[in-house]
Amino acid sequence: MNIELLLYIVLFSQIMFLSYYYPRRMLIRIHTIFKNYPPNEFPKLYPESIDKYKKSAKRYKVMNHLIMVLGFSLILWFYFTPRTGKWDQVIVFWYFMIQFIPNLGIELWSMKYHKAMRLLNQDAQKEAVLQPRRLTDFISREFLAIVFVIYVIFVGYVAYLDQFDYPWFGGYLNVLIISGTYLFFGFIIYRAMYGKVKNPHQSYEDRKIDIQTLIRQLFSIAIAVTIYAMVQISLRAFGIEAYKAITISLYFHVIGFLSMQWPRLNFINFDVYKEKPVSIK
Amino acid sequence: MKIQIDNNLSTPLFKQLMDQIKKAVIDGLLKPGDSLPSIRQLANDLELNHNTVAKAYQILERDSVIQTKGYRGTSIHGDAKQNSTVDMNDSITTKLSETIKSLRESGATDSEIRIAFSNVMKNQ
Repeated sequence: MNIELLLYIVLFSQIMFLSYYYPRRMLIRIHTIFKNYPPNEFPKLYPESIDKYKKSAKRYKVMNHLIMVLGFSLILWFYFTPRTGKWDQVIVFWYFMIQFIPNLGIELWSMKYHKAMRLLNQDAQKEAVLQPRRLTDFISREFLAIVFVIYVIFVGYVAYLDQFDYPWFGGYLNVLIISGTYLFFGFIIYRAMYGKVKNPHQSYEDRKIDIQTLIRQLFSIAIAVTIYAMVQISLRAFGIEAYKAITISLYFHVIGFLSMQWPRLNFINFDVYKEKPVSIK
Repeated sequence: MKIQIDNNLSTPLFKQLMDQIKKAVIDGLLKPGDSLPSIRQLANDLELNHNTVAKAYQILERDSVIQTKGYRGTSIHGDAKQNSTVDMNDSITTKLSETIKSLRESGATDSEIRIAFSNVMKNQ
């Protein structure tokens, strides 16, 4: 298949997946919560007015639609403009960064939301489980071993390519970047496992599920990042750089898919967001 | 095993923590060798100051209810059940009462006893 055509297909898929399907699923989730767990029954779930949250959800939807239009314009521009293909992967990368903005907004919104929850929390009673949390409580040893083996393969691959003295090859800088990414993920995991409670009402079991989801996502992304780095280096080494834009787009599909693994709503204990019954003495 | 802290109670927070760990040991919910969360984890989970949990752990370790073994973390002491029934406050109160009684019998006034007690505490 023509590389150019393949790029259009993959880019179209990236647009639809990350700016339509992903936000759609996110919005369905948000609106299901609004509908099934309304403020009158679950007041602790809404530290601020539900209208404010509905507006934020609408803004998220509009932003994604605009980014989707931008994406289609990008395909048209690719189609009608004669290009060398040299900058394609840079354009695809920056387009993904733009696609990421609404989700970054969701993250920031989530931080504000939990902060408002903590500020309004009047509960004098705090609960904890007298059990240490360990990484292996959330992820199997086999999964950990896979991540480790892939990292070792990556280091070995870099060491192998380093002997050919490619002028473009960053050598061990690649190992440094991947190691830095692992360390960054490690820091996020450490904070999730041992850091301050974000949601003061959340049950311990739900918190464990959240931590587990995050850890699995980050470990999977770590594998994806490492494999992606190896693929990118290989494409350059074998002189088939024309596929770089396609592989980067496929990589963003994987990242999007891994980020979409949210805990199922019917497994979450929403009763903790109900007002406690007032005891009559 | 869950632990609950109430900020509205007059009992100090570190004491609530200690009492519940001791009770869990006496009730058999925590057994010798069972691991306890790190100070950081427990303090963050209970939204307490790290020093509060550290103080509770320090006293429990002194009373041999828990033990800390470097990187292995904190666990329940082998003699925890037996040691959890010993209340240091009771022991101090008993000993002090006996001393004060004997001082009174020897003719010392309450004011003299208080001043002497205060001086001794300051000089320790």
